[in-house]
Amino acid sequence: MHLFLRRLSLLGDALSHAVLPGIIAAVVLSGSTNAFYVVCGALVASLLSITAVRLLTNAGLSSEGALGVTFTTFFALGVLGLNIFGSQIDLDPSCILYGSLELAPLETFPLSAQFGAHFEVPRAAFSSLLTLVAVTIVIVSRRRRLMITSFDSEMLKLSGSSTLNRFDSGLFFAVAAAAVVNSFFAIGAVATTGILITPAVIARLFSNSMRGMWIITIISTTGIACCGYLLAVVFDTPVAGAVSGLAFLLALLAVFLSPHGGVLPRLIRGKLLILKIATDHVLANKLDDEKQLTNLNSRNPRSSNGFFMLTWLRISGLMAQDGTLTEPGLRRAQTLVRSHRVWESYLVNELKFAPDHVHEPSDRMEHFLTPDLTEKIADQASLSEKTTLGKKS
Amino acid sequence: MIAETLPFFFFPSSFLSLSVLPTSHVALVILGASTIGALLGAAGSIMLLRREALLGDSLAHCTLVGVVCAFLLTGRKDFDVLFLGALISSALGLIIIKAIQSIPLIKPDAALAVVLAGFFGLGLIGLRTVQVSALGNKAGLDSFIFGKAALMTSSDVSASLVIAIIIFIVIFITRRSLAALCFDSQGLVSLSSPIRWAQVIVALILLSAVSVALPATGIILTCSLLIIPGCIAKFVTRSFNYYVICASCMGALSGAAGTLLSFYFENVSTGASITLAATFFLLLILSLRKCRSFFRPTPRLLTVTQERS
Repeated sequence: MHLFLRRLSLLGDALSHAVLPGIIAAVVLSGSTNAFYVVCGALVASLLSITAVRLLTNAGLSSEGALGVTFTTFFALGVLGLNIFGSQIDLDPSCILYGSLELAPLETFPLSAQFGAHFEVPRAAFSSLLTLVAVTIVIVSRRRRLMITSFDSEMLKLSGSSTLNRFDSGLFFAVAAAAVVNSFFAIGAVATTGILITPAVIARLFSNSMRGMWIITIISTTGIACCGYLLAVVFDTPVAGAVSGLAFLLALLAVFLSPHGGVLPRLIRGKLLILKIATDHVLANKLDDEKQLTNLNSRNPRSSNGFFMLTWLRISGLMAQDGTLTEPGLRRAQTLVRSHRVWESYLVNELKFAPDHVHEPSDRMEHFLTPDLTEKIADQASLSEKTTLGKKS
Repeated sequence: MIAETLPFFFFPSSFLSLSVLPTSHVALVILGASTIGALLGAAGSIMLLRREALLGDSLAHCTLVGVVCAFLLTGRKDFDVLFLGALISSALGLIIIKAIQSIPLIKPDAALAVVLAGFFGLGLIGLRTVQVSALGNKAGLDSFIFGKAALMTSSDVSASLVIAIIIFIVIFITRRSLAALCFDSQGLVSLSSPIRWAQVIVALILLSAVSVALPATGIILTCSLLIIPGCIAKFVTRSFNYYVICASCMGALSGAAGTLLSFYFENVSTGASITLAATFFLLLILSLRKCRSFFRPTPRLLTVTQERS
């Protein structure tokens, strides 16, 4: 999730592509798929790739260019290795795509004697658990520092020279790389990206606080992983596909429906705001001069329909059936006009606007000034009630 | 059903394959790979200038779903069919990416990652469905993932030639708008050219390039041929027109070289070899620059320094 916050989402993708040659080299050199060698190889590869990105950026490439070049080249090297050496080891390209979680229960790893020799834990579960513990320790112990440096890159730069901080960020990346490698084997390269970022996206759409985001991320990650696996078993599809697809669909739902970020609610809120502003204009016009209702459409080029506004006004009780204002409607219109005039005087007297420039901004501000705010401004500017600057046109 | 709606592709394709294309398999495949490389280089160079380089990677992963669905619906592995499928699904992916990016809460690259992984995951499900289905000739679909140019037939090559020529003509016609879009989108708006159309055209160029590239470079490594030729061309010239031309030449060169290499080493996926060839050229140019900088100051690079709208 911190990768997401630091705008480094694609780093997860890049890392998972770049570690491939490290894994392949480790397996080839060591002749076995022992997890320890593999993780070492992956870490070496990620260090190399970070160095390569830095070198390329110094040589003049743009940052995305350097990132793209590096991770595609590394991945190509890895694929090359797979093609050439693939027959000697029991890895093949589809392993990268799908991961081997389905086979996990078959690869067991006997725990050491102190846990009892009859415990045979699936190796994947064991390594995942280890990684989870490591990641949790790092994040929990460093969380305040992580939080600050994720949001405030100035602070990151300022504190960048101390050795403690370099160790810190190095640790963070190492842990991230370890998590990536681990899930690599379980669900393959692409699903790793998915499960790295998508829960964070969902969390961001639903919560604004760090704690809320953490909770939602953890819940959604475990939920998606479990449900995805179940779906994969039921429908006989690859686990990687199920997990990734499920995460994506949930993210789509979140994107469209989430209360404070989603696309649909924002559209709806936007329309409601337009309606409010348009009807406010209608009310104020009614107060100012007794024009006919047929002139409404010319006043508000943004409104969809004068009839629609009138209906809304009638429904909310601000206007009577025959077109005159009711008591609440009258009060609202008076508040509007007063806010407008007060704001105009404020602009002219305090902020030294030219008098012919103040009508437009006040037209916008009048909807958002509450009555007590208006009174405070009026007191401060010590105005009288009947200022007539900037007549409403 | 789809065959009747594609006479537009079939006719020039068959014409080309009967008369113009070389008959030797090696030459054919190299021509195909060069075409694809040229198109990707041109499209990718524009995206690199717009700082949207990794968008191409996302879109390339989106094409898997389309390819699989096209195969499932029609039962044929013709290039035209798969191209259409890839185009449609990556267009869908692009729309979703833009929708997610429009939310201020979410950073732009997170949208890329989400869509990349999601679509590719759905595509993997589809791939498994294909594998267990009873349809025939399904073996070649896997080659789309890592790229195997040697599997291109003459109809594939001619179809990609046709598409590439069309896209190059489009780029040539709109080159002023493309340059303006990259460097000065405010100016484009003030000239009251519809900026929407320019953006749509850029998107279409990218989508077609990505969909065409599938046989040669495969899905995962298409973005290498989008980014690397653009990077190389940045060091070579400062004019926009020459930049695009140089990028597509470098792309074609990488495609050809990579495919040649994959003929020597039998098992290698062409996606990997093309990427490595492109990187080789990049390192070549970089070291030439370093040598040159010992003797005289190096010229500035082609960069975009203004805010994008």
